[in-house]
Amino acid sequence: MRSNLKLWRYAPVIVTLAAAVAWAGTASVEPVAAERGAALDLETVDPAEVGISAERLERLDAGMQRMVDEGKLAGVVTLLARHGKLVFADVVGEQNVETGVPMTRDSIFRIYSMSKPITGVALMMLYEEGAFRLNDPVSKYIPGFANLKVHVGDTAGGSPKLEDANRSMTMAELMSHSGGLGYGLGAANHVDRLYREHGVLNADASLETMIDKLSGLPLLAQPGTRWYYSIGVDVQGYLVEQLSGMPFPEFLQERVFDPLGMVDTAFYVPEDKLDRVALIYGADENSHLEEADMGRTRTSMPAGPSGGGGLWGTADDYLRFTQMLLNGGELDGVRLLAPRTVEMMRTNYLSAEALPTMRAGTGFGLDFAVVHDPAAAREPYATGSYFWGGAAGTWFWIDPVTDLTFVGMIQHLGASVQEVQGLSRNLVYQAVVE
Amino acid sequence: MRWRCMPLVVALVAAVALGVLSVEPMAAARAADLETASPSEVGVSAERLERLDAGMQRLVDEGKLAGVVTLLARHGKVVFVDAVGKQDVSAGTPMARDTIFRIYSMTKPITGVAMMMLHEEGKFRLGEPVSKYIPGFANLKVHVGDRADGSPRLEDADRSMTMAELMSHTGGLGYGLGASNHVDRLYREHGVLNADATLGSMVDKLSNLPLLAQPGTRWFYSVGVDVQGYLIEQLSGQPFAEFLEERIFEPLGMVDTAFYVPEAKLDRVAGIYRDGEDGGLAETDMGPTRTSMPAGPSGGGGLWGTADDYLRFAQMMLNGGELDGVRLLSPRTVELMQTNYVTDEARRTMVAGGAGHWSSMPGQGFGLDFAVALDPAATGEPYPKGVYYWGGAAGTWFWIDPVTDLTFVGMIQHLGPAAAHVQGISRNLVYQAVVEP
Repeated sequence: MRSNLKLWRYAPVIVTLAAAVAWAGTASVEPVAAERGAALDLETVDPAEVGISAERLERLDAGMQRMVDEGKLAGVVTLLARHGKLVFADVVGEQNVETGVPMTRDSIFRIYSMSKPITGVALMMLYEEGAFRLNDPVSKYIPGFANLKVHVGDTAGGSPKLEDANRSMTMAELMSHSGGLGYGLGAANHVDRLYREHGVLNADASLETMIDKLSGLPLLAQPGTRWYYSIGVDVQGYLVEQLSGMPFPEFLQERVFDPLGMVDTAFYVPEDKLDRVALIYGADENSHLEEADMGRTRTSMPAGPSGGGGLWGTADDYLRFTQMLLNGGELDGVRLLAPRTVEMMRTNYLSAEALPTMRAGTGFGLDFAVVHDPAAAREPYATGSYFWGGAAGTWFWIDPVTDLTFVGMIQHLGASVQEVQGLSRNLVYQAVVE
Repeated sequence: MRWRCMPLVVALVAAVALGVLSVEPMAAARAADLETASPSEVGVSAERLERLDAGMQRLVDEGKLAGVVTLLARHGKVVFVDAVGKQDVSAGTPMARDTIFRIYSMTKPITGVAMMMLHEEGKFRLGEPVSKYIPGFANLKVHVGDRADGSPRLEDADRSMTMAELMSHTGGLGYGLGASNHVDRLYREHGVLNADATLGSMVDKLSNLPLLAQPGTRWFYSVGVDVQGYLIEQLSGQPFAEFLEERIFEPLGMVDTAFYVPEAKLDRVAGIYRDGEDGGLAETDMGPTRTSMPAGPSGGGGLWGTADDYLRFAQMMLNGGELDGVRLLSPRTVELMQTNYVTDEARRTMVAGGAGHWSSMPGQGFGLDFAVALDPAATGEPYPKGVYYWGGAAGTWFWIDPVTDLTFVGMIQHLGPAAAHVQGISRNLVYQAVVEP
């Protein structure tokens, strides 16, 4: 198993090196292509054809392999496309360490927050139909959001101090995490605690239930004043239902996944694909890989499909999504969005007041982070690159200047995530020579 | 109703000949329409444009608007012509492409172009005090607040407003429309805005009334463009209306644009409506349609015109000052007009009303008689940076987008929220249809 794996993980590099001549190798690079439907993969080319050094790309492969060899990650799938062509497909390590099942290119990952950009695209498709405007108050569509309170601190006695919200958050604020909503994940503030107490995030309850709960809970900042990673994208899933009159998963399936050929992306994994699901790992106290309990893989549609984090999918599926955006909203003749809409999604929407509360050099567009100052961000990204990632370490970016997009898939919680993500950016940009 | 779909049908059917005549059944009546193209020829999706037509139709079907005429041109070619609903609801007259609308404040950019034609002749400079040409503006007072007893507190103006400030609504003038401040009240009491009095008498009245802010410190939508109409007379030695006719309307072929509607064209004038109490449409009394030249033609709001006429004007701007071989302005002058002239201090007053307030213009600046989008994200609009635009009190609207190389004109006659709604929706629906950047 091991040697087998080794051999074919080198396939892309071997092929690119070997072939000064005919580009022989789509089949050998993608041993599983036939199973998943080769028609759905982006066209593959020799890196040199799109200004990338095959030799330098070896560093990217070696870097990913090293993370696995050092026991920091169970496995990694990475894809890199430039000028619309796939130039790098790398699969290293294992999907399941215990059983030794190798990572494969069609392994299925829980992509968590990488659901958000997909939900954002769905909402902007409705924007393009005139269903809403970006400066509309969200309360126009969710009346319960009309007169929210804001938690502004605590009294001397420790009880929360609430004020009226100055105004309703706008749609643009909802989509850029600056509407004042909390999330209800780990954070220790009063509002996030309330979200947890009320079970706001609950895939087994309907989206309406979530909205009803949020309508009775305070914001954690006045709208427009602060970037705070939030439940806002789950709210967007609800809005997609309200504005389209279609169940949210059905909208994604019919309007995004089917047209783009994202055949393995869904809010659950059907039984017959369960053997392709990668396990999620963390590091134990000895820095050894240990399976993390993130709940079972869903095998049926949840009652409340989470627009903020509910999807499973493959690297190839997500690459098709990012390439669609990089193309200005279209892939293989299927147009989801107009170029200007994509441009808007990668434009910073944070106010001057809220911008400094986001990470350095980075603003936030409509469901994407956007790099406006790569030097301040300490990343090799070109200005205007946009990106996000998921809680189990999956990551991607789209770089409209260099005309490339990258998707990385792991299932890991812990420090190795930042390491592999950061490393991938060094190693991708050093390989782009034209 | 049937022919409102014609442009789309034509665009879709005709990979071949374009059929300009069938798109424009009344073309013969008008001297000069812009050339028509199939949307795909200029990077616009015909299929996606259907959403724009459907969106306009829906507003009429829902009873929110009586009728709408919209025109979209890209790369200098008309790709969308849509006339839906009624010109007159009670008479049942259908809206037509050559329906005449009261364009109110869409008069302002035209007056601004006339001014800048004189600028190009060296008749004035932008940094000059307006008092150089209107001596009565030399020593104005400024209303700075009220005393404890409620009487107004006045101070001397620090300086005379400049020509650029006059043209960007930052000179400190009021308007005399509905606003409830002291200066606007004075304007109303003195009847400053009165088309039946001469422009000279308007300027005389203004010379004796206080400003509402020190020049340059505040953006306040103002009577300043009516003042520009007066200045055009002074600087050109020609009556204002005559200047517009000879120097702009005739050269551009704007055959239906004027300060009044001749009797022979009265049957083409659309009725003005408002949101009725029952959620339907109610007629509104905005005074009779003028059939002769007023004594004081208003450069800020006095014109009637058609969508096609205005599109020719907007396309001239988009072309850098020229249309069909007729040059009104140089490219640099057009660029000046679409450049923000409002100081940061004054720009802060453009959002004083807060989000959603009628006067709130976040992300926007003001050039010379046009608003300019400076920060599209803050505006909440799909406009790219640098788009310039304005609209009229009865809901007419237009924008010029030098980045995407397109211009749009929308005509309605409506007072109330439906106006802002259709304007906003049109921007969603235009930009989603542009598929090649």
